[in-house]
Amino acid sequence: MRAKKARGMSKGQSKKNKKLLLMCSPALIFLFLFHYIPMGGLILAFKNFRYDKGILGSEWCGLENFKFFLQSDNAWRITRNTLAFNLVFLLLGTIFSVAVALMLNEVISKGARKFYQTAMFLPYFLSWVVVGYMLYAFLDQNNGIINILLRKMGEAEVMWYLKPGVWIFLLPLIFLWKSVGYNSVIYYASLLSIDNSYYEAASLDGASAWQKIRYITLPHLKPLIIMMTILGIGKIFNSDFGLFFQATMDSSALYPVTDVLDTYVYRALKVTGDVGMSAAVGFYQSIVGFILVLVTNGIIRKIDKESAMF
Amino acid sequence: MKKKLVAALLCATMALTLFTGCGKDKANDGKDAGTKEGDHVELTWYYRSEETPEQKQVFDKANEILKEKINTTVNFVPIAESDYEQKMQTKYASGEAGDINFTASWVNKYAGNVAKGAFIPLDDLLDEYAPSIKAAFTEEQWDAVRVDGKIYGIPNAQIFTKSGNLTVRKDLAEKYNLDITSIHSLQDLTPFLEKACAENGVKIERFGTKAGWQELIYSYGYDDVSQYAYVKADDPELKVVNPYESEEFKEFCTVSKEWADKGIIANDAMVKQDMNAELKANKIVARTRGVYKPGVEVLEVGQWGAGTELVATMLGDDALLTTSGITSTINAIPSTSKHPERAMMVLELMNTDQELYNLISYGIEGQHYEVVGDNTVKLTAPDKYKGIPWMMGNTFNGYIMEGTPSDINEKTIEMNNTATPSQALGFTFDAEPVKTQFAQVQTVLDEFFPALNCGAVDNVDQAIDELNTKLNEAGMKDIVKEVQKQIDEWKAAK
Repeated sequence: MRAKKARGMSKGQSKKNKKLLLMCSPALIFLFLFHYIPMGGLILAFKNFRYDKGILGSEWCGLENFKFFLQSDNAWRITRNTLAFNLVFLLLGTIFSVAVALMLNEVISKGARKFYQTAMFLPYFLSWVVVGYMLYAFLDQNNGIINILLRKMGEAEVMWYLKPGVWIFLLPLIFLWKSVGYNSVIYYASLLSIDNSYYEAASLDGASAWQKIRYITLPHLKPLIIMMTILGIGKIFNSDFGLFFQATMDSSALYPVTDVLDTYVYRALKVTGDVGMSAAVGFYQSIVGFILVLVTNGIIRKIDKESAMF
Repeated sequence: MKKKLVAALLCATMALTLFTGCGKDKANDGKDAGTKEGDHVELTWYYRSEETPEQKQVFDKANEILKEKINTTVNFVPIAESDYEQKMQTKYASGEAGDINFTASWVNKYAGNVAKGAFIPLDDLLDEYAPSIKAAFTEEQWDAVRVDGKIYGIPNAQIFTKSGNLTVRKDLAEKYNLDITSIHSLQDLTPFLEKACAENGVKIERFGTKAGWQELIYSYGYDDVSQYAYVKADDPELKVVNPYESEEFKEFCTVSKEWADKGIIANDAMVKQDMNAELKANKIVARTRGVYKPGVEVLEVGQWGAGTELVATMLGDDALLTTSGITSTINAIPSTSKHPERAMMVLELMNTDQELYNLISYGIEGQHYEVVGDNTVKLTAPDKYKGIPWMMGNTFNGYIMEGTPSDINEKTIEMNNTATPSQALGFTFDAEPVKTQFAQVQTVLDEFFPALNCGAVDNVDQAIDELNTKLNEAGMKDIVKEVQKQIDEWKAAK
């Protein structure tokens, strides 16, 4: 202890750290209990799990549990859908969230700003089941609003839940509607922390509103955008089950477009309910995500050391 | 988010089993650990049912009986139907499955659970503590629940046969002079449906998952010896086949297509997971199910809209006695139960004590039902308490429902005894060796089956070919081969 103190940690600092540590401890304990201890369960991915033998007692089975989704002839389709949709979501999500945050920043009336924020925030709190049925009210074959309108206008009805092509555009739309409000708040909060004197100085120099955004706001947002993107890339193999399962009403005709890793695994294992096989998928998603985070961070560090997360 | 939370909880409980695993060896050999005979014991019984507001009063009364007779109390825990399978799998994984569980060939699947070591063998316990249950079934019937020569579950005595069941709304049947007894196949029904659907804005119940083919396979003479590959019930050679390549499947799909084209099947049917709302709204004219039983037209009426009356008949030539039929409702004792002996005593009592069985099945007299005749009751408050008789014990031991034939039990027993036993009766398939193929075949069926089932295809032959190409790529042939191997071994051992 004495040596440690001598090595530069003043008494006040150590006390302050202790306090901070204490404040952190509930979260740290939670993290340890629910995020680190369960990692032991990952060995299940390599075991033929039997209830009576327990996790440690069950026999090892090599990569047997990984076979069903890696060897499946749908493997390409699932991987393509999962990756493509998540990339689109990440890209559009970021662009729209930042744009909305910037626009909110320009709204002068406080009341209007609050209203826009709340209105956009609301969908984030709706469960996917509810969203699924709201969508159903629009798209239902016989009583859906859109088909009723089409009929009134003398057009032919569209069987929305049987047309995969439409959903390539519908899914990102639903995703944005549900998530932009929430994500823009994060960016908006960061905008508020930018010192006003930058803008004042820019105004004195005669900068236009667009120039202010381009040269002051966006550079300030850059670290946050990069961090959110890296985190997003870590989850690129985890698709939003609710979006792809509930919003599409699990319609089988849409699978060519909507089948992603999580829904495929759900369908494959709902019959056998095999713990080892589901653990294998979780293992695969986490490992691939982890590697992708490291790689992305490495690339960013190469380009711009300051912006890297670690 | 919810899924993540569930996953986190699952992981946490799994982590716990790492530590609890050591302590449960005792329970496995079927001995009560540290409890003397006669001591008070509290058990937990999980079963598949919705909760009802006055269930606690009923359970308290049942516990009075149980306490007095065997000094045991049972914590009855109904788990919602849609959650049951998932919750039970989590409970087995975490070693918290209580002492008695409902399991079956179709939900919380018996064979799979046995293969994964979820239940204890009951042979010795049956001999010692449940002589009347043991005597209630024939050797042939016990064979159906035997896996590798051991009994892992107790079937609830009821209808054991499998056969196509067709129910039609009585008012419409009368309006169009339909003689239900003249209907033996789906095609026979087409002329009636055509008129009834066009003139009354109703449809047949058919939706994007299972109702339809999978429940009618028995009427085509198939025995579902495994989930995906079947045998013909009367085939002494027991040749295992892929049913989706059969003439019968083609016939079924052709009728479905005809019905869809004629507006008998709703055009959005394949998007639906069930048609309960349509049933309640009286927008369904007929439906098919996998079990025809005496009195079915009365027993099923509660699922339809108020005031509906039904007529019913059996599709196909013969009712079949199959392993899946006998195992369609079972109570088993999980391997983590600390008091398997007491659990067996509770099961014995539930199967023999009429007062206890009727209480759990129908509630409290005067409060939930009234006796309207000789051993016949009428439910008066199904919204306050609703038991599920066929899940809890011997149904021949309880009251019968008003409106069903007074000799319904005798008729059912007769049907059980006279049904044609399948050549594969007693065979239980262990899916572990082909679980990879099972997973992949299921995803193919999920994708291509609903369209065929609901007739939403342009060309039936082409769609069936596509289905089978995909099935074979997913390993259907491996499954057929494995089932054939196991069934040959089983036959040789017999």
